[in-house]
Amino acid sequence: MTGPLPEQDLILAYRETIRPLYAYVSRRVGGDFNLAEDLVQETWMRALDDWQAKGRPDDPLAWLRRVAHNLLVSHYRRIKDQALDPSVMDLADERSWPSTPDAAAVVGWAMARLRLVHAEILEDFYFDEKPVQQIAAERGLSERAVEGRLRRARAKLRDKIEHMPSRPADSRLRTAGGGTEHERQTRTR
Amino acid sequence: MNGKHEPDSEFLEKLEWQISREVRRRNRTAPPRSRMKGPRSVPAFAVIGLMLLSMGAGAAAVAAAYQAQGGERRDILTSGFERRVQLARERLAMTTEQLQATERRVSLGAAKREDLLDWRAKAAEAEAQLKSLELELEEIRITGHEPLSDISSPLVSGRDFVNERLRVGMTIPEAALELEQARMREAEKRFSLGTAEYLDVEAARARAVEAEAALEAFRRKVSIRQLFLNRKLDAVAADLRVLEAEAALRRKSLGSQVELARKELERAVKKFELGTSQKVQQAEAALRMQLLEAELAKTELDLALVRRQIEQRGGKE
Repeated sequence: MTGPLPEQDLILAYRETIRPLYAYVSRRVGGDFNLAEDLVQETWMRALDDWQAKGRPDDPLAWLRRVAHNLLVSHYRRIKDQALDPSVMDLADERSWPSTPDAAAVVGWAMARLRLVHAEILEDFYFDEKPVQQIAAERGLSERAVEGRLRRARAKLRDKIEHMPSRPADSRLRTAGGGTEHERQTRTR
Repeated sequence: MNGKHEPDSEFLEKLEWQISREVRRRNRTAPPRSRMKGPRSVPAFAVIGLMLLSMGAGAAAVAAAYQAQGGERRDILTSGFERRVQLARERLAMTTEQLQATERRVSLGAAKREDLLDWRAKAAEAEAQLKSLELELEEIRITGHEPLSDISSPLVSGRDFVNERLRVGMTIPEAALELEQARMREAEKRFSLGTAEYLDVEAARARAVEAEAALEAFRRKVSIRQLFLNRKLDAVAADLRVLEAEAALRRKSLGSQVELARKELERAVKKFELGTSQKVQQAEAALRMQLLEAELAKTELDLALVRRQIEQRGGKE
């Protein structure tokens, strides 16, 4: 440990970051406030451990988001798939993104098992509600490439959910308009 | 931003309070920035800090409000603590191996008895951490919640986990005290043979005082816990008594460090006058003493404030 933590600085950082941090977590757990509060609290306790040893980072919110993200992934990796009901998530409706805790748990479970490249782009688009143009600019890609990646990421996500061990063998995800997800283009804003 | 993703104001206030409390607690137990020069040792503050960390390990960190919700949370907590127990077990195995190797070297005359005591202190610390984590795991399995480490925590199914962990933790300063007393005797012997300076003896004595104070703080906490369980103290009074014990520990420890720093400064002044050292060494010694004195004054103030609160609550205990 390096020594005393400056209490006032920390409280100031807390007040500046707590709302965006909470929103970041809450969106990813479908507004489950119990879980969001637990994860935000755990994130801050880890901040105290780390900042005491290494000092406060230059961008505390970015640090807190990264840790919260890791905690979320860890949480969803530990969730038992038997406890999840994939039918609560209508993946075919691209406007439908987890707005309830149950749906968030299904998507979180699947996203925690996706490759980082797929999980990140889905997060940017759905959870952070970034437009394709912004994602393209941030990642140095063309908008067309982003759309393609989104489509592939969504297909991977759907595949994970369809192959959840708890999912009954004969059931399929609901698809809007009768088509399958693979036949549809990912709609971008 | 969607209101659904806005935090509850009660949660915001509670977490802010919890962070402030946690920061103050950590700062109280953090080692002072300036350190005395001297041989390697197990400083009492570091020992207590380590112990509190291991005892708290998530409990104090996540605090009482972090209540587990259902079996899933219990599973997460349990698996996290099981990993910590496993790591602690591996650490103990490695330390025990080193201790046994040192015992063999000492019996062959290839290592000093002091080295043996050093490894014994490390092994005692590793063992205490393991036992403490095992107790925390047991508590989680019963309650499904983070273990509670406050002195005013309730019994869990009739078991007093707080007291059990305190008693386990006490073995660390006990081993540290044995080590520091041995070092002190060694320093005295070397001084009588003319191979060490008197300041070396004083430094060893200061560390022994620290270890003694740390041990005394544990004993005091055990006794406060007993008074709380016997309803002779309410929760607030018990917490205040713990703060008092911790402040008293710091005062005792800093007092001996200040005394040592004063002697080091006197020596530095004499050496400078004799031309055997430079002015910068004298200035360093003076600064070290002033920092410790300031730390001691702050601790005196903390102690006075806590005692005033205890007096004000006099009738409520």
